[in-house]
Amino acid sequence: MTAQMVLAELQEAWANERLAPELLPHKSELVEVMMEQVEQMEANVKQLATTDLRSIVHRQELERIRYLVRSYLRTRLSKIEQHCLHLVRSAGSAGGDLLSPQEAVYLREYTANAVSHLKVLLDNLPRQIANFNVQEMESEPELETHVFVRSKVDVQEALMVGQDDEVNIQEGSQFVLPYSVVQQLVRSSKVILL
Amino acid sequence: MREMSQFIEEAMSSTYHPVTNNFMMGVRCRQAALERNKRCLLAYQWNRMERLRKMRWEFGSILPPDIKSNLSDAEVGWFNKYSKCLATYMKSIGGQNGLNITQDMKPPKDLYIEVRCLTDYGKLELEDGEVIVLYKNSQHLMPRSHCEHLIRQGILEQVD
Repeated sequence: MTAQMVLAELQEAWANERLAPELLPHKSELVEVMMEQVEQMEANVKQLATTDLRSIVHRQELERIRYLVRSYLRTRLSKIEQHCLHLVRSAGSAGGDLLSPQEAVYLREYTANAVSHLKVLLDNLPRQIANFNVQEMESEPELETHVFVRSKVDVQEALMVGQDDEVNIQEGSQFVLPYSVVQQLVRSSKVILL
Repeated sequence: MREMSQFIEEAMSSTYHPVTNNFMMGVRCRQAALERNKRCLLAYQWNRMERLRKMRWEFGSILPPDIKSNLSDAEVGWFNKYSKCLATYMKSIGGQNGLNITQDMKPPKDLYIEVRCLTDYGKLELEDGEVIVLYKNSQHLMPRSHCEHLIRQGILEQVD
């Protein structure tokens, strides 16, 4: 895989992550590869004179890539924070590759902190209602929200929308659909969100 | 907050005595009201946490004193924990030195931006070893990546 392809894929992952209501499977290997590339390019750029046009263009591009990586990771973190209790619950059952190892550590730590902080507050209340109900505090991602999608491949099976509407997705076609319908396709990055 | 829990306590005690008198409806109403108040309390706290989270990204791990004075002890504790948690995460990603993801909050447009200094900051060493001195009201053309956190701390101001 060339650096160009990694970048393109990362850009796609970033766009999808920003537009999807839920946390998507992590792409930390892409991020790592990209970071290594950035370091290398930085070393290369340093050898050029600062007045060289190429140096300016390259540095500009590096800035963009760095923004992309940071913004991607930031978006994921804010989703993790938002839906921390939901993620803790689902991480045990299904979400194996949803989080990178580092994010999993972050999620655990963050949730423990948040829950204990709220519990301290409840300690001031009389005993009878001071129990902390995790389920009550949980906020789930809104999966029924509509999203714009464009397909990268021909999808074989027809998708069911609501009770009796079917959608056939061809390569390059665009739709507005509830997120839950295309959830699996987004996760396997067969479609991109717009 | 304390007022609220005191209110709840009062309500509790007045609720649980009449139980013997079989005023079930009243008890239920009170119970619902209590649950509601508890939820409000939690939501209030949750939103304050959210605000604090945003501030961590804006100001870094040290809060300005005027904001700090508005926080309870528990909140200060939580903020420090959150800050530590985030720092651990940032250290664990992106190679040896970690990756500071609180940088680059806005998409980059130009490599250099013009900034005006709002306070006497002193010397600042740039990436390429050049040292510049920041005086109050002096203007500089600086690499954007370098002055972003200074802008957010209110030391520099971007000039359009």
